[in-house]
Amino acid sequence: MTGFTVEEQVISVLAQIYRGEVIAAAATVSADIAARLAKALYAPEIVLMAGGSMAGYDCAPTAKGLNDEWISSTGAVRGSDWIEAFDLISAGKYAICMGPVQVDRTGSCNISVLGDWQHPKVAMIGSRGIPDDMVRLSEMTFHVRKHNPRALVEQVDFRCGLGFGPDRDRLGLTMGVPRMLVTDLGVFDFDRDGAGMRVRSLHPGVSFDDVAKATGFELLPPQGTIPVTPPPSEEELYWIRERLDPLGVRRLDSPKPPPGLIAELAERERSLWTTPAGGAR
Amino acid sequence: MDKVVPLGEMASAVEPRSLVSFGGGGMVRKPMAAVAALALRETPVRLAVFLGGPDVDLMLGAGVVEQLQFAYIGLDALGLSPNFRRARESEGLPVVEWTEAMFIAGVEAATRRVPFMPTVSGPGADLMDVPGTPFRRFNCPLTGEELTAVPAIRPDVLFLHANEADREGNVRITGDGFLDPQLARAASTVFVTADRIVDRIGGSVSEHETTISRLWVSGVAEVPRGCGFTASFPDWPLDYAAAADYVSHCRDREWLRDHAGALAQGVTR
Repeated sequence: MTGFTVEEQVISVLAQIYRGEVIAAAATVSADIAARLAKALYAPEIVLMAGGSMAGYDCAPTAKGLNDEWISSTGAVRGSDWIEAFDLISAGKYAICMGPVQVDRTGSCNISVLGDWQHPKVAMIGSRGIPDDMVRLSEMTFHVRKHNPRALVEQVDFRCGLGFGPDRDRLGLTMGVPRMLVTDLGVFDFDRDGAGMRVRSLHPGVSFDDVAKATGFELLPPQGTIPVTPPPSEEELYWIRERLDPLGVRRLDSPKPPPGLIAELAERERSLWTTPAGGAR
Repeated sequence: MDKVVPLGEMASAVEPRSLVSFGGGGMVRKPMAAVAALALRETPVRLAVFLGGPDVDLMLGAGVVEQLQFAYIGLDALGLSPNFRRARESEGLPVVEWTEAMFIAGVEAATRRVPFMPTVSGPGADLMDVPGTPFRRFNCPLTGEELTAVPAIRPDVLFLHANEADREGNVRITGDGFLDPQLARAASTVFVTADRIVDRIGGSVSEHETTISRLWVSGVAEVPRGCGFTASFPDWPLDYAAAADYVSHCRDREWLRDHAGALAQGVTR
């Protein structure tokens, strides 16, 4: 791949999911920058939060840092709180891209534990809001940073979000379906009957065999030629590099982040702050 | 009514086995000085924390948690919580895993003094079916719709850190309030540490701020940067260097005791 990084490719794809008068919520760095890119170029109607802070709703698409509240709060229209956040989720006024640790062939996802829940091999972070999103939102998008057989599994160890198939049909769940998965290799979606995962497009230079090897289950066979994911446009690259992520926070999402990156970003992000910090007045 | 009390007195007011909660969320506005003072007492307690971070990690590392209820435990950009991992993976810590909306509903049940709250969340999530789950499916007596009943979360003691409080117990939080206002109404005792204590909070309160009335507050202590290395807008951005230092040492009990000792004394680095 030349001319742009895989993170920039992913951001360009994810910028297409944020549309309409909704909160643009993001659980990965790339999705966060993608929401800002959508706001800047395609969907001025979406509502950005100040780096996920409920205290700042409806921000301008400012540059991404680590302490985002210090960068974007001054441009917020109003404050909100966690009660309203879940009222908005209940009303379907949210577009979410989350970063599951495991996704399976039906689109179920897991961020809670690896192994058995009672005696976990790895205790991760808990189910968080995924079970809430899946009963009220129209759809969810997944971003998996590193496509490998540990992330793309036959069956998730613990279901935080339920994919397609008989279990979903039996429960009568129509909302919160996994609409799309974006990884460092391509763009995927899930058969509505739970038959499996399809390749929608492959990023430049990636073959079907590469993806098949990196996936822990059998992919649905492609129908005809698989398209190449459209590369980010010049305008998108300008916005990502110059306006929305001049420090390169997106490198945190790269398959191999450089060592010491967080420390470097923590130092450099101070140049972006619009709110002074450094001690109680 | 003057509610200023020393931090140490807040910690000693916590009875063994009580249900304790902490405000803030993840790496933001955690009442770390109060958490440290409590951990150093070596009194076993139960915890119910909405979005746990270094607060829960420190309590677990100190070995004083009998049971943990949570919707999230993690150190955000700094990764998984080391002492949560150890407690869950090798020490058999009893836990109740909630979803965020269910935890909020449980707290709201407590604020309204009802035993449970209905939610639409539940179906399709494995946390409904794990051993010891307190959640129950039921049919709405009015419409027949299938819902989930979640029990009330009634903390005996809540600790939270705020930007400002006054001597009478009024509290002002700048930045994300998380569930602090709701938890303050659900808890029997509410202790607040604040960067500064003023005679009286007055003037106009911004739309972006969260306030809690003294009617809900039991005691306040002035603890500048009582949030430790966690962020508290706008005064204290997250101190990534100190947080990374914590992550690399927090499994060491000796180091953690020293760290807690310094925090409880008001030293943040």
